[in-house]
Amino acid sequence: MEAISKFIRMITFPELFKGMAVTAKYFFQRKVTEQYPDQKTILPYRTKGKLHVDIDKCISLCRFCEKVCPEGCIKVFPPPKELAKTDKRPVEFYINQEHCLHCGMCVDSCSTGAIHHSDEYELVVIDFKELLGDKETLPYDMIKKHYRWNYLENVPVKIKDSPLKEEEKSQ
Amino acid sequence: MDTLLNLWSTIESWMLAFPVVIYLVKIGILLGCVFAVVAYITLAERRLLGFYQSRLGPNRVGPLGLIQPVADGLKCFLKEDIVPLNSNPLLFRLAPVFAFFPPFAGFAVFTFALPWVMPNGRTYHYSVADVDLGVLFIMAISSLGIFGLILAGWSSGSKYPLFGSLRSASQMLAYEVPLTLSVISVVMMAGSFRLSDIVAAQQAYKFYFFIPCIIGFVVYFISSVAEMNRTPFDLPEGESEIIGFHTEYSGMRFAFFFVAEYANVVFISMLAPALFLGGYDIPFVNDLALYGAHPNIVSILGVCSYAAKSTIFALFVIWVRATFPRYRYDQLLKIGWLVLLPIALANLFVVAGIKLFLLK
Amino acid sequence: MNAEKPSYMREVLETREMELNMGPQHPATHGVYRAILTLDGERIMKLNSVVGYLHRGIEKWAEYRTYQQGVPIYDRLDYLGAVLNNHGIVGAVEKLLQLEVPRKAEYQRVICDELQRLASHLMWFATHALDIGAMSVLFYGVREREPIMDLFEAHFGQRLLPNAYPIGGCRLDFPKGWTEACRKFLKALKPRIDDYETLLTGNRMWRQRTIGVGVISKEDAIAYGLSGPTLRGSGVCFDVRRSIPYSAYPEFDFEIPLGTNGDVFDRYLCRMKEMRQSIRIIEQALDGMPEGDLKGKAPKIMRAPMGEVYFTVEAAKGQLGYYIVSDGTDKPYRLHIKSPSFINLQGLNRMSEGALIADMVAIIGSIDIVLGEVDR
Ligand code: SF4
Ligand code: SF4
Repeated sequence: MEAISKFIRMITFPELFKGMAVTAKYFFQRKVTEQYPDQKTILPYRTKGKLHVDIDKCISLCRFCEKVCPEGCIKVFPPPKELAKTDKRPVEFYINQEHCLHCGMCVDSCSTGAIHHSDEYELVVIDFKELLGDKETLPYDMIKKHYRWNYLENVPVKIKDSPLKEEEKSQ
Repeated sequence: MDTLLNLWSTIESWMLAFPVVIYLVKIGILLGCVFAVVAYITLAERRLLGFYQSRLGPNRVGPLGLIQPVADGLKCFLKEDIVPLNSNPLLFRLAPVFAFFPPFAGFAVFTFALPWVMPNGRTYHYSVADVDLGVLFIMAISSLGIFGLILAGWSSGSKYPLFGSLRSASQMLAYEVPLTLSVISVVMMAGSFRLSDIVAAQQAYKFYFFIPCIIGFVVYFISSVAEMNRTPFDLPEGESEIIGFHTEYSGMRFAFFFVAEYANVVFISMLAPALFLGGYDIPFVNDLALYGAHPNIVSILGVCSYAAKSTIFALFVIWVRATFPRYRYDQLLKIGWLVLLPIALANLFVVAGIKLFLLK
Repeated sequence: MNAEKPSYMREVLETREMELNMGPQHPATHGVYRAILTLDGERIMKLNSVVGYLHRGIEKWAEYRTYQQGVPIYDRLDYLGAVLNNHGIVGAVEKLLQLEVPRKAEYQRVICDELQRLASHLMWFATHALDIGAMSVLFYGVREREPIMDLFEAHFGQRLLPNAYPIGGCRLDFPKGWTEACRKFLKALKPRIDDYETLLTGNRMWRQRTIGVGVISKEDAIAYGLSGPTLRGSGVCFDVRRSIPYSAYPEFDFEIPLGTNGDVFDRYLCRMKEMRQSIRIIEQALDGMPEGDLKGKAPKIMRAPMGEVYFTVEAAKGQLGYYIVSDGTDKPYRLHIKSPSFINLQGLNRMSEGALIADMVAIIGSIDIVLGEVDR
C-alpha cells in the first residue's frame, strides 16, 4: 500500500502542483511594489535623513557633535571668547553630508537639539559639493522641510508647521 | 461591393499567373505575426512573472508597459557590439544567425485554420507550405537551432560560454529523443506526418490526442520545456551558475539569441495544440458540419481557438518558470535518458495497442 | 585518473584539468568572493578561495575611534545583520566596563536581535533559492523582509544599518503602535513560511539539488570551527544563546533545531526552523516586556580599565565574537572580530569535494556568507 501510494505520488507530482498553487495564490494577491517617483511612502517620524542645524539654537562652544562623530564630518567654529558672552551662535558650521553615516550620534549628544535629522532622503547629487552644508544651507526651511526626530524628549520639538504633524504616521 | 470583388479577381488572376507572389505574401504576413507575438511574449512573460512574484513588472513605457518590447529592441540595437579578442570572429558573428533562423523556418508548415473560401469559390489555405512530412520537417529544423548555441559557446573563446554550449548540446541529445518519440505516438494515431492531417484526424475521431497519448503529452511537455531551455531545465543559461552560452554577446547579437529563445517558446507552444489539443478545432462543436454552412466564420473561429490553446500552453510554461528551481546537469541527463526515454517508448506501445484494438 | 580508464581510451582521450575563475564578479558568490576551481569536466577537483576584495580595515579603524563611535561602523560588517553586530560590540564594551544593563533594555535588544535574525534568514532564503533557480522565492523573501525594515525604521530611524544600541542600554522606547505592528507582522509571517516550505521543502527538484550535497561531518564541522546554522546542520548542538547565555536569552523558551547529515538541505531546514523559533522568542519577549529604565548608567566619556575581554553573540551567520584589548584609554588598543562568515567559509573546501559547479553555487548559498564580514 505504502509503495503504491508512493508510486502514485511519484508519477502525479502532487507537491509540484501544490507549489504552483502557492505562486498562483500570490498572482492574485495585492502587489507590494511602490511606484517610487510617483508614489512616495510616508516616512516614520524617527527617520534619520539629511542633517539640519538650527543655527540660532546652537551654543557652539560645547562642540559635542563634532567630537562624537565617528566620521569627523562636522566642523563647528565657535565665536571668539569676548563675543561668546552675548552671542553663542557659531561663526561657521560645516557638515559633510557626503561622509555622514546617518548614525544619529551627533543628534544624540547635542544638548540643545540644534542639530537634527530631517526627512530628506534623496541625497543623490551630481556634484558632491551640494552635500557640503554650511551656515547658509544647513538651517532647515520651515515651509519645505519638516522638523524631525530629536533624541532629547525634554527639548520641545517644533512640529507645528509640519504637514506630518500626527506623530508615528507609519503605524 | 462589386467593384471590390472585381478588383480582387483582377489581383487574383495576377497572383495566379505568378504563384510565388502568394507565397511571398503569406510569408510576409506569417513573419509579421510571429515577430509581433514573439515581441509581446517577452513582455507577457515579464509582466506575468512580476505578478507571480507580488510585483508589477515593467509598466512604465507606454500604457501598461505595452511599448516595452520596442524600447528593449531599441536599447539592444543602440548598444555597443563587442567581439572578444580571442574569439573566432567569423563564427562568433554567425552563431546568432544560426540560432535565430530555425524556429522561424519551422512556422512554415503550420496550418492555422480550415481554408478560407472566397465568394468566387476559390480557397486559400492558412499555411505557407503544408508539406506532407511536416512533423519530420519540424523535428529536423528544431534540432538545427542547437548549432547556434554550440557555435556561440565555442567561438566565444571563454570558459563559461563553453560550459553553456556543452550543456546545451548534451541536453539537446537527451531530450530530442523522448520528444520525437512522444510526437511519433501522435503520428501513429493520425497515420500521417502532415500537420493538417493530424488535426483532421482529431476532428474525425471526435477526441483530442492527448486522451489516448496522455503519457506522451506529459513527456512532450517536459522535454519541450527542456528543448526551450527554460526552468527547470534552463541549464545552458543557468544565470546563477554559468552565465550561459551568450555570456560574451552584447547588443544586437544578444538580442538575436533572445528573440530566438522566445520564438522557440512560441513555436513549441503552437506545435503542442496541433499535435495534442486539436489544433484549430473548436472544442465541443462539430466543426466539419458547421464548415459546410459557414466556412469563413468557422475558419476565423478556428484561428482564435488555435491561438487560445497555444496561449494557455505558453502561460503554463511561464507559470512553471515562476515556481520551480533548476535541475542539475547530471540529474537532467539522468531524467532524460533513464526516465523519459523508457516512458516514451512504453507510450508508443500503449498507443499502438489503443490504435489496434480499441479504434478498429 | 588515467589508471581507471581502459587502455584504448587513455591513448585517444587525453583529458586535461581546467581552471575556472568563479568570481569576484559572479552572480552566485554573494559578493566579491573569488573561487579558483580546478575542474575535471564539471566536477570540482580543487578549490582555492581568494578573499579580501572587500577589505576595509575596520579593525584598524576601530583603534582610532572611541568605543561608542565604533558602533555604527560594525554595522557594516554583516550588513544584513547589523543589529546583531551592534549587540556584539555593545555587549563587549559593557563587559569591559562592567556596566549593568537594565532588564527592559535587554528585552528590547532581544526583540530587535531576533527581528534582525529573521530579516537575515529571509534574505538568505531568498538568495539561496535564486541560486538554485527558484526565481519567485527571491521576491517573496525580500517582500517579507520589508516589514522588518519598516519596523526598524520606525524604531531606530534607519532601515539597514541602524546604529541600534548605545553602550549601556537602549536609546528610546518602542514608538506608539510598534508592538502591535510587530505582532501583526509575526502573525502574518507564520503562514507565509509554511507557504515557502510548500514551495521548496517538499519539491522533488529542490530535494534532489540539496540532499546529499555539500556534506560536512560533525567532526569536520567542529574541527573547522564552524558555527551557527552551518554547524547545527551537521547535528552539533551549539548555539551561543544557549551555550554561553547572554542578554535576556535564558529567560525564554526556545528550541535549537538540529540537522543530521550536514548537507545543504539540513542547513536549509535548520534555518527555516530557526525562523519559527525566532518568532516564538519575539512573541515571548513582547508579552513579558518589563517596565523600568532603558538607558542605563553609561558614563559619557568611557575610560575603560586596562585588560581584555571577549564577548560573543549568536549572529545570524554564527558565532560573532569581539575581542577587545584595552590600555586604559577611551579607545581600544586592539579590537579583533571573530566573524562567523569568514570561519564558515573555510568549510567550503571540505564541502565542495567532488561537487559539480551547480552544487558549488548551492553550497556557497547554504553557508550564507556576507563578504563584508569575511573581509572586514
Ligand atoms: S549622523 Fe553620525 S556620521 Fe553623520 S554627522 Fe552625525 S555623528 Fe557624524
Ligand atoms: S549643534 Fe549641538 S552639540 Fe553641536 S555645537 Fe551646536 S549645540 Fe553643541
